[in-house]
Amino acid sequence: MCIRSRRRDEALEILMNAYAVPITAFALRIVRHHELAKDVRQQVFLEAFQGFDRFQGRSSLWSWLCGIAYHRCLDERRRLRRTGTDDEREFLDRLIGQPDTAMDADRVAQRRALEQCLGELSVPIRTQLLMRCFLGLSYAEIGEAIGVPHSTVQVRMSRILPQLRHCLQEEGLVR
Amino acid sequence: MSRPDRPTDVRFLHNAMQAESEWLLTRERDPTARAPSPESAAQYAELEDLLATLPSGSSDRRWQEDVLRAAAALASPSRPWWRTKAARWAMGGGMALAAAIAVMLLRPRAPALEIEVRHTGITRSAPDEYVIDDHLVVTARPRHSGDLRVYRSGKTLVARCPNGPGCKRSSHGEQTLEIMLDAPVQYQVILVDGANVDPSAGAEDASKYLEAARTVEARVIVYRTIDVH
Repeated sequence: MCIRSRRRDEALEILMNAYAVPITAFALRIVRHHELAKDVRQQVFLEAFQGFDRFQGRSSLWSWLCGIAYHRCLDERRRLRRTGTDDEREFLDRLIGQPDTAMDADRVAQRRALEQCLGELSVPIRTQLLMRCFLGLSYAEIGEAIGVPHSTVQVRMSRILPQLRHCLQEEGLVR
Repeated sequence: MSRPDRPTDVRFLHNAMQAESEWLLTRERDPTARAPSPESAAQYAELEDLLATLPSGSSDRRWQEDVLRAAAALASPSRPWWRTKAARWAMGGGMALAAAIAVMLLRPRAPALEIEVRHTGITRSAPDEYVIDDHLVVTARPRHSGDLRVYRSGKTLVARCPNGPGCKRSSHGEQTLEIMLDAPVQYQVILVDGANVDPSAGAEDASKYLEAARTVEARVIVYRTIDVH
């Protein structure tokens, strides 16, 4: 039992090292709150730890984690709506003004505009876009995680990207 | 950007967007599908690149330690001792033992001395009227070593158990004595339990036997006198 427990700890550590960064970034864009995104990150890995035995291997480990993250993000969004502490400007300042983002002014502006445009999308649409373009999930994996047919996700995606491009055009960041 | 609250609310703002949407959908099946324009293809490639490389925010590692600690706590929750498996088994066993002892203590105990008179065929006026030739059956259940005696008229020892004719002993210490009531006198049944009385004591006198038994602080049970007519 001790050995098994140790192996589970090691597996958890490996998962955190491999996936914590994209999971946190995803949670940040969905929840749009830095502290709550960290809560999501913690919950995701603890839930994964508890669910190791239940993980059937029917999906990839990565899409399984993303599915957990998606549900925890929705929980936090609901909590945020109740408490009403969603400060978009503070969120963007903190996100774009990261010390490790050594980008020139145009690039920073482009990033900021993208984050703003993402923020204007509804949570389900933003989730699907990020699951596809940022997390790299297949349409089938996204469909399974959010509970819709993969063909629906595919059609939605083909409509979201032009909307997003149009938003960036309005910001004068793409031609 | 008009905010699409539901997927069905995603509206196309102009025909160009619709053409791009159709191209994006076709591209999923056929990566070589032609974009509406080379510029739009480049812009979508840039947009997708931006989306794929979103910054992740601050990186701290202390949170991992918190998760590992929480996971360790989940893996080995500290249980109170009484919720451990061994304690539960021990408590279960203890309760079963206590229940068994309670049953043994509470169950009705058979009397230490039982008398039965088996009647002959002679008609009698009352059921407890004893006549000559009736059989007296005495059953004694001493707790320790017992000495069972039957006296006639308080003077003559007519039967004893153990070490007497007609005496039977069971393996769990029960003594049974059977005699025929052969004279129209009083019969007296005495059980002395728990102490050794001199076997020769009271051989001719029941009162002397009782006195000897009480001297050694034995438990003495005397059945009511049986009058034989």
